[in-house]
Amino acid sequence: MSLKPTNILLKGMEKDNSASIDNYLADDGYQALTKALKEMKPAEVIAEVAKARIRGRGGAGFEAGRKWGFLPKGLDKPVYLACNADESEPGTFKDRHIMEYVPHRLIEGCLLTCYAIGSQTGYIYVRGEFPEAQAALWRAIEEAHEKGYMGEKILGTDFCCEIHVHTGAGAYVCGEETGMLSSIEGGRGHPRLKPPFPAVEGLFRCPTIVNNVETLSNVPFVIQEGADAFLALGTEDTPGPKLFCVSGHVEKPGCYEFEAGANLKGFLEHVGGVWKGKKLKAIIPGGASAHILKPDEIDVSMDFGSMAKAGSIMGSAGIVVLDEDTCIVELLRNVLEFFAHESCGQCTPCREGTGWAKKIVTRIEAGEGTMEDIDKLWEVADNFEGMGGKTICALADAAAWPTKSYIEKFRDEFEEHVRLGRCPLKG
Amino acid sequence: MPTLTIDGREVTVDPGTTVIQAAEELGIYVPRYCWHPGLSIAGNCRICQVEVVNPKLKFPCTIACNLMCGDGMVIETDSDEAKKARADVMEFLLINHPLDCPICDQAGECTLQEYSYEYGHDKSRFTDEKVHKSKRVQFSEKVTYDGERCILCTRCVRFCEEVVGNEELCLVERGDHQEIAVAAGGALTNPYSMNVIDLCPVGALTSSDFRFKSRVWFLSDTPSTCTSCARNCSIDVGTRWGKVMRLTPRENADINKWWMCDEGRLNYQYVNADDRLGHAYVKQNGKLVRSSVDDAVAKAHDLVNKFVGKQGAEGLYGLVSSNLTNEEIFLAKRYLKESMGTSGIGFLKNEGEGDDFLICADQNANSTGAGLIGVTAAEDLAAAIKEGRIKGLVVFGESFDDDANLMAALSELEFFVVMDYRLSETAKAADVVLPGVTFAEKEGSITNIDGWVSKLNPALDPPVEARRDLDLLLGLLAKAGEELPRTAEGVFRLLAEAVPAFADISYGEIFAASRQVATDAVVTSD
Amino acid sequence: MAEGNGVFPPENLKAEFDGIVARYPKKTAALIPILMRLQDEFRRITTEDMDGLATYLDTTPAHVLGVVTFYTMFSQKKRGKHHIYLCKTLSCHIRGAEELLSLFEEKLGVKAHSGEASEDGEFSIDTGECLGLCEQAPCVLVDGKAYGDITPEMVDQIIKELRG
Repeated sequence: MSLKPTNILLKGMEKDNSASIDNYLADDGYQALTKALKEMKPAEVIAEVAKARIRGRGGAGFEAGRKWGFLPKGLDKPVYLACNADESEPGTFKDRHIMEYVPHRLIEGCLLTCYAIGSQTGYIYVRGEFPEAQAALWRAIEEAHEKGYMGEKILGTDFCCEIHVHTGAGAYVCGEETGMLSSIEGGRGHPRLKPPFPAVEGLFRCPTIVNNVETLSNVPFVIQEGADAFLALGTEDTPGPKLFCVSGHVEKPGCYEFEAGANLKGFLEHVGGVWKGKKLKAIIPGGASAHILKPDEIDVSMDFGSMAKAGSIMGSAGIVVLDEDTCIVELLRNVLEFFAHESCGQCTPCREGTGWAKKIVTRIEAGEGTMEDIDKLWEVADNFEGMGGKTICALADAAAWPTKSYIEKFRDEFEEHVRLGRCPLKG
Repeated sequence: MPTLTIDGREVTVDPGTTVIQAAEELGIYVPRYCWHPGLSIAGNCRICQVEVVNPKLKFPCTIACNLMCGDGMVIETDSDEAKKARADVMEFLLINHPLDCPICDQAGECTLQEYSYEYGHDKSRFTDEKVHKSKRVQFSEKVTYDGERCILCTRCVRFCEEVVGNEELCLVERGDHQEIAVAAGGALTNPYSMNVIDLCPVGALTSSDFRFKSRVWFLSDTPSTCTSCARNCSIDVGTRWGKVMRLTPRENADINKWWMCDEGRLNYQYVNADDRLGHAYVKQNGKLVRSSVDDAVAKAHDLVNKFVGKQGAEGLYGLVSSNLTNEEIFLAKRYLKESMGTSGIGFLKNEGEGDDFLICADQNANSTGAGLIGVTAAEDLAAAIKEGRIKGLVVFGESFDDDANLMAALSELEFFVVMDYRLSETAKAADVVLPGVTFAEKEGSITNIDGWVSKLNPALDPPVEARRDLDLLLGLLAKAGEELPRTAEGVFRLLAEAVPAFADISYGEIFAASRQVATDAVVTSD
Repeated sequence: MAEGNGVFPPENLKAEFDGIVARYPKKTAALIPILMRLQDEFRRITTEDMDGLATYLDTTPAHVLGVVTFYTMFSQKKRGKHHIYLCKTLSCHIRGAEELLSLFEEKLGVKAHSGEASEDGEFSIDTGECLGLCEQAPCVLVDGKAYGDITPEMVDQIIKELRG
């Protein structure tokens, strides 16, 4: 599928002071909220969002509307919205773009969601390393209050809602929805056993809806233009517009907006191809967790289903381009250092396994590995892969996928390190 | 009520039962580190993985501790899949675990050792440097922590938070560098802290008191009951070389569940102390001279009998410790009241600070038993002696060295007999000293604050020539012409006939489990 | 803690902290936002502050310690006036982060993850795991600002700018 640009999620970004409410209002901002509060019941908002099949843009691809439907009815507890703005998947920076440049779109999305799910309080959990995004959101929240879009009796209706920014403090595992909840509650960011699921028992033991920044930022469009307009974009598998991040050895790194389903090969060409005239070695298409793709595998549509069929994942759409001089073994060492460092440490397989895998690949990279180490490394990863069975959350899976795929697709590089006793690409 | 199949066997369980619990109902043991019936579900160790044949999950195995039983579920706890899942977890646990077994107190009661043997690989393929962490950290004077041995199951953290209500322990750092810690500059201070030692599946948390004392496989364990307060927690008495080496809590759903307090746990040194009485003594020319126990018993009764014969029973008082067993208190009362005719019988109260968990303000083990049998708290004995109302004193199982008034008043007595387990200052003032024993050498029953009757079982023999208090009391009664059954069980039968509260329980029953009696008939004062 | 007089929260921060607490139905939820503010103000989290914060939020010092040691942005050792996070992951790694790290360490006279600040107390440095600025790789985050597309030649300029 050819690249079809959209101007929905990052609309207004090109303006000076794009983050201001005046600019947002000039772009028909807060019309969706007005329409929902004045013309729609909460259940109708849920129905429209469900009809649009917005698949979770955090990486799991679970339909937002379906998730909202899991809220138990008639419970005598407050409902919370927790927006996941932890964005820590290496290679990903799309949520940061929304929050820094067009924060009101997210704010409006949060308000609409709170209205739909019956919540009066939302928390946007922004990673601690995004001070500018946090500042932009706080300013936006203040502006929204001033103009009457947030607070008591919004737009003269009975709907009251407060959105707060809640800061993280440096932990990738807090991007896991229940790790995030543990963190908001003032604890270590430990993911929780499921069941119970957050929609039933989340923040402060109350029903909680957790959605990604980009997911929520699609809601104003869906409500304003209707689900059909959303469904007309993207693919059957993944409707709607999508933000794609590209970085690494590429001419024009950045955040781009196209309809979901954009072709990865076409996208690489669009962003200027591999830098410095070099040849492509591989692409990591969905953040550090994604299974690596070789040059002959990148002619693939970037939607959830197609990427899974291609043996990788859409993930966070954090595309990292690797040129011919990249040492895959070194890259795996870097990636496993990341996962070993970020493992919360609860589950035995992840805690011990990621540390072990890191040690093995470090030795192989340094030329001190054996052939057995290569198979051992693959097996160790295989032994910690299995969220829900072997581990509490998917962090270990996220470490297993690159480990296994790099070995499977670039085994010769691992073997060369062993044979030569050093990296074949560096002297 | 879902019905599920585990290892080919069907079981119907209450809704809300997890698979690990359902397996236990069938007598199938699923290995576990982090799961404990008295704590919340953590689900972090992953050793309890079982194969879920039906329904089909994403992966063949999942943890049994958090899997709610469903109707029609089919579980295999020992299939190839389950075995591999467990073996993999064992491999991960062992890669950084130090080879401390030769110096680790946990050896012999370590589930890492057990499960490694049962479920683990027989070879290690880890060739890297292990993670090094803190060792020999004193969380307090009582509890030592070893970070390298720790498998981070968090039982200890959850115990302090959930059972004690004081989050004194925490995890620090992240990933495979995590350890357990106390607050900076803090310590493990709660009065139940040593339970984490029992909870710890490995040698990460160990008792400083028991450190390096003995290999546990050399210990004999005798089920008994703690006598440090009126709670009467069930315990195991671990002995070796004729000494008590340690006390550990024994599970009792009705009294202490899995726990005991630190004070009770550490209150056994007196059993091994040098001041234990191994012989009887009789005062001759102002000095205590060794005597045979039979002669001493005869002499003691002689003193009492002559006194009563000359002056009547009114001036005779019997101080009967409420730390004695039901049977012993019954016999003491029988001797003093029925045989010798005095109503002057009482026990010394011993009150401290109680809490809303296990520790009772009443620091005597059997006040309730005493009350049911009809023995109440004693009056001011020093005053009574000084005023001449008490002229002859018999003390069974008690001492009052710190009561200066009472000690001073003793010289005004016409005779003074003491039966106790140690040569206290009190005993030294006596005319006859009968060598009794501690709870560790006794057999009998005691009654706790809520009426639960538990058994004491002898873990040690009486030292040298000392005798169980029961036997000494039977000896006195025999001298008084009363031939009674010579066993604790036999005496209990008499007790049950005489005291209605005990009528419905049998001595044999209370070996396996405590039985509860009504406490409304407890006499608190004459 | 700046005053060290055992009062928590310190007078000049009380209103702000009370405002943070008010956002949540449970006090402990204010823990991490408040710790971030303390880290920002005093460049480290002291034992006294952990104790005071525990009382202020109805939790225990051990709980606070567990949180402080879990997250990379908190430190118990005093950081430099300008604490530099240099991203070391993936895109930054393959665009020269390691070389940049060595340069910074050399020029500032301080090693990453040492927990120490430079001799003049001005700088300290840690590597960060993917700072979410990948389109500007390699990058650093310091004093709440991101510097991206850094070349070795730019390091001196950045340090000079930070010194002010």
